[in-house]
Amino acid sequence: MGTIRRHLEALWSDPPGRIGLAGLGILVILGAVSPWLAPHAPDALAGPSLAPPGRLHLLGTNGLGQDILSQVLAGCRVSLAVAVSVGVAGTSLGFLAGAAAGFRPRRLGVFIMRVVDGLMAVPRLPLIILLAVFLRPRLVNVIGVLVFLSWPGVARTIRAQVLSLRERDYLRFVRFSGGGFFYVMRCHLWRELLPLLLAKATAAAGHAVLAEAGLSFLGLGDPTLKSWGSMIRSGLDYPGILWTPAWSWWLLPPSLMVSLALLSFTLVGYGLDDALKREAAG
Amino acid sequence: MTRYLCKRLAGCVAVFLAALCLNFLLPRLVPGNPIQDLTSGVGSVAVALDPEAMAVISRYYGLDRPLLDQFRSSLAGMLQGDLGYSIQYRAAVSGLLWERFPWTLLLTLTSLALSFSAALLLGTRGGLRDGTQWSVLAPAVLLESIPAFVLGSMLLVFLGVHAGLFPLGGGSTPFSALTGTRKLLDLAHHAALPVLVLAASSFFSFYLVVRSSTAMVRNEPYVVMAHLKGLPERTIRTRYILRTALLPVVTFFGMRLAYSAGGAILVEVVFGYPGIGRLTYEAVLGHDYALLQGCFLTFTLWVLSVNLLTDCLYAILDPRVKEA
Amino acid sequence: MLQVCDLTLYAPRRRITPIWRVGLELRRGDRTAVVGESGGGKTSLAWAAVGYPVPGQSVVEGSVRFDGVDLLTLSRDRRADLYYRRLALVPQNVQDTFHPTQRLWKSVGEVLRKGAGRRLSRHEVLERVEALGAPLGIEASNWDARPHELSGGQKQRMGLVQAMVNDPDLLILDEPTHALDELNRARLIRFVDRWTSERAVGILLCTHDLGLAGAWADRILVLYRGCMVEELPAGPMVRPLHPYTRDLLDSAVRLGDAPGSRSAVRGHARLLEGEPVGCGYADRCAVVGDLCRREAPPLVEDGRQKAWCHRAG
Repeated sequence: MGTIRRHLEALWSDPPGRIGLAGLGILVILGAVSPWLAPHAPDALAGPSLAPPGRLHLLGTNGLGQDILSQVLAGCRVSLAVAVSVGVAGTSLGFLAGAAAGFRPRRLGVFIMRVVDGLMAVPRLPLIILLAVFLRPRLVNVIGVLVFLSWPGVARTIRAQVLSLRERDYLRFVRFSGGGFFYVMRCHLWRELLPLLLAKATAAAGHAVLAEAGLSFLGLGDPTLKSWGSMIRSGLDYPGILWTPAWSWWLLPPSLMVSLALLSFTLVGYGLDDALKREAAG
Repeated sequence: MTRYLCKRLAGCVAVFLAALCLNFLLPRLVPGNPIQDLTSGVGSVAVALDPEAMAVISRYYGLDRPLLDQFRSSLAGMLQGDLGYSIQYRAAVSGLLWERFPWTLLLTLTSLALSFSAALLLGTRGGLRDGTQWSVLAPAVLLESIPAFVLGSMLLVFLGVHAGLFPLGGGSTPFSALTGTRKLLDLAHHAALPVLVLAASSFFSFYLVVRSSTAMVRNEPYVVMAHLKGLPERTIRTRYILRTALLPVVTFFGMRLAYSAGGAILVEVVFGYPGIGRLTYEAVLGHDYALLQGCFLTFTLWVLSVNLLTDCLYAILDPRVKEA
Repeated sequence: MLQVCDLTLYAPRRRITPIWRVGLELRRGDRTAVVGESGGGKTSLAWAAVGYPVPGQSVVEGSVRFDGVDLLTLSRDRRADLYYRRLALVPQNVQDTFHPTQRLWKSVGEVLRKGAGRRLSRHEVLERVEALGAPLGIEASNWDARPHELSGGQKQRMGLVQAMVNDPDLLILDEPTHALDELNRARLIRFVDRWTSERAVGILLCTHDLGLAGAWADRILVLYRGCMVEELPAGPMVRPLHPYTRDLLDSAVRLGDAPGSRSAVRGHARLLEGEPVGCGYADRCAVVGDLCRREAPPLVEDGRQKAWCHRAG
C-alpha cells in the first residue's frame, strides 16, 4: 500500500499528473452519484425536444425530449464501469499470464507467448467490431471483448519484467535456496511490479473507454444503455441537426466528457510513466 | 538473415491460418440459425420458414455438409481469390475489397506521413534540448485526447457545414468527370479533413517516442566521442544521433502503420469516406457476413505484412539484431 | 606546448570539486603520467586538458593553453578543428565510443577525413590503419567489423590507433591498458614507445597502474582527491617526498610477493566537496600532524621533485 500512496503523491506533485488525477476524481464521483444526481431518468421523455439549456434542463434536451444532463451522467457511469472492469480484469489476467510465462519460460512461457503474439497480431478495432457483431450487444459482452484484447499487451510487458528481475543476483539466490513462486512474488517482485501494473491498468482503462465510445458510436454497443458514444451518434443521426443550434448542447457535452476522460487517463499514465522512469534512474 | 525471415514468415502464416479459422468459425458459433440471419435482413422481422425451404437453402449454401468440408471448400475458394458474395452490394467480395482498399491506404499513408514528419521535426528538436517542451506537448495531448470520431465530427461541423470550406463527405465529387490535376485536387480536397484528423490523433505518441529516443541517445558514449573527435555538428546530428535514435522509432512507426487501417474505420464512417473501414461498417449494419469476413481478413493480412516488413527493415538497419 | 594553470573544476549537480588548482607543463617529447586512485581527478583532468570538460563539470578558474591558445575559451568550431588532428584524447571507455552500427574503418575514416581534407576510400583508410594496428595485434579483418563483433581489448587498441592516425602533437591517454591482458599491455607499451621516439609527441598518461607509469613515463604527477600532492621524475631510484606517494608505492603488489606482505593504504578517499581545508590526505596519513588539518600544505621542492606537504621527506 505504501508504494501506491508514494506514487499517488508523486503524481500529485507534477502538474500534468495533478490535472489527470483531478479529472479521474471528477469522473469517479460523477459516475458514482449519478443515479442520485440526475434530475431525470436518462430514458425518460422529460421535456420538449431540442429545448435549449435552462432551469429545468441544465443541458437542454435532445431530439426525443430526453434530458441531456441525465444522459451524460448515465454515460459517465457506463464509461466508469468499462474503465474499471477492463483496467482491473485485463491487467490482472495479463499479470497472471505474464508472471506465469516469466517463471516457467520454457514450456508454459513459450505457449503463452505464442498466444499473446497471435492475439496482438490481429487488428484490434476490426476484431472488436467482428466480435461485437456476433455476440449479443450487451455491456457485459463489450467489456468481455475489451478485456480479451487488453490482456496480451500487459502479459508481454510483465513477462519481460519478470524475466529480467529473476536474473538479478539476489533473486537467483532466493531461487537457489528454495523460494517458490508465491514467496518470491509476495516478498520481492510485487513491490517492483506494482507501479508497472498501475501504469498498464491506466492505459488499458483509457483505451477501453475510447473503444467503448467508438463502438457505441457505430451503434454496436448496448442499446439499452446511454453511453457518450451513442449520444453523439444519435445526435449526428438527427436530420438537419447541424443547421440548428441544438448541436451545441446535444453533441458538445458528451464529446467534452469523453475527451476529458481520455485526457485524464493519458495524463495519469504519463505521470506514472515519468515516476517509473525516475525510480529506475535512481 | 534468411533464417530470421523464414521464422517470421512461418509465424505470420500461422497467425493468418488462425485468423482464417476464427473467421470461419465465428458465424457458425453464434447461437441461432444462420439461415434465419441470412433471410431476415437488418434486425427486423424474422421470416418463418418451413422445414422444406430451410433444407433447400441449407443445401444451397452448403450448410448441411460437415464442418471440415465447409472449411476446406471455403479455404480453396479463398486461395483462388473467391471470398464469397456480398448480399448488400450484389457483387463479389474480393472485387469490393480491391476497389475500396486503395482509398483507405490513401488516408492512412498520408496521415501517417504527415504526423510522422511533424513528430520527427519537433521530436528531435525537443530531444536535443533540455526541459519539457510544453508548447508542443500541451496541444498534442489535448488533440490526442479527443477521440478521432469526435474530432472528425466537430471539424465536419465547423469547417464543412458552417464554413463550407470542405466537402461534407465522400472520396471525390460524385458524377464529375474530372481528369488529371483537377481530379487530384478534388481527391485531396475530400481527403484533407480525414487525413488531418488521423494525423492529429497519432501525433502525440510519435512525438513522445522520437523525443525520448533522441534525448537518450544524446548522452551515449559514442555521441560524446563524436564531439571529442571534432566532427562537424551536422554529421553528429544526422549520422550519430538521428541514425541511432530512429531505430526504435522505426518499430513504433511500423506498429502504428499496421493498426492504422483498423483505426481509420471510425473516421471513414464520420466522413463517409469510401474505404475498407466504412465497408466494414456497412457490412455490420447489413449483416453481410461474407463481406464482413472479407474485410476482417484484409485487415489481418495488412497487419501481418506490415509487421513482417517492419521487422525486416529493422534487421537491415540495425546489424546488431541477430536473433528474433 | 600544453600548459595547464590553476585549473579548478566543479560539478554543481553532484556538488563535488573534481580538480582543485592543478597545473602542469608538457613539451613535445615529454612523457608525463598522472596517477592516483579512482575519483582522484585523473579523468576529469584528461578531459579538461583538451578543453572539453566532462559533461556536468564546469571550469571555475584556470586555463589550458595549447601552443599559447586557451582551449577553454576557444570557440567550438576551432576546437573541433584541433581535435584528433593536433591533439587527441583517448577516453577510458573508448570501447563504447564507436558508432554502434558503423564498421570501424569508417569511424577511423572520419578522423582521417579531417586530416586529409577529403573523404578517403576504404582502401586508403585500411592502408593507414593496418600499418599502425599490426604491431598492436590488430588484424586486418577487425577493421571491417562492427563494434559489437569485437572484444573490449580489441576496441581499446583500435581506439588508440584512431587517435594516432593523424599524427597529433599531443596525445592524452586515460587508462589505455585497463581492458588489456598482460601480453597486449606489453605490446601497447612497446608500440607507443617506438612510435613516440620517432616523433616529438607529448603524451599525458592517466592511470592508476603505478607500474605502467613508472616504466614508461619521464615524470609522474600524483593526484589525490583532486589536488596535486607530488610531482617527481620516474625511475628506479625514486624517493617520494609525500606520504601518499610513499603509501601508494608500498601497496603496489608484484608477482612474487608473499601474501600479506604489502600494506594497504588506510581508509577510503572521499570526493572533494568545495574548497579543501588543510591537507586532503590528513585523515588517512600515517604521519599526520595538527598543522596538516588546518593549513593548506606548502610547496616543498627538492631538485627535480615537488611535493605539497607539511611533513615532506
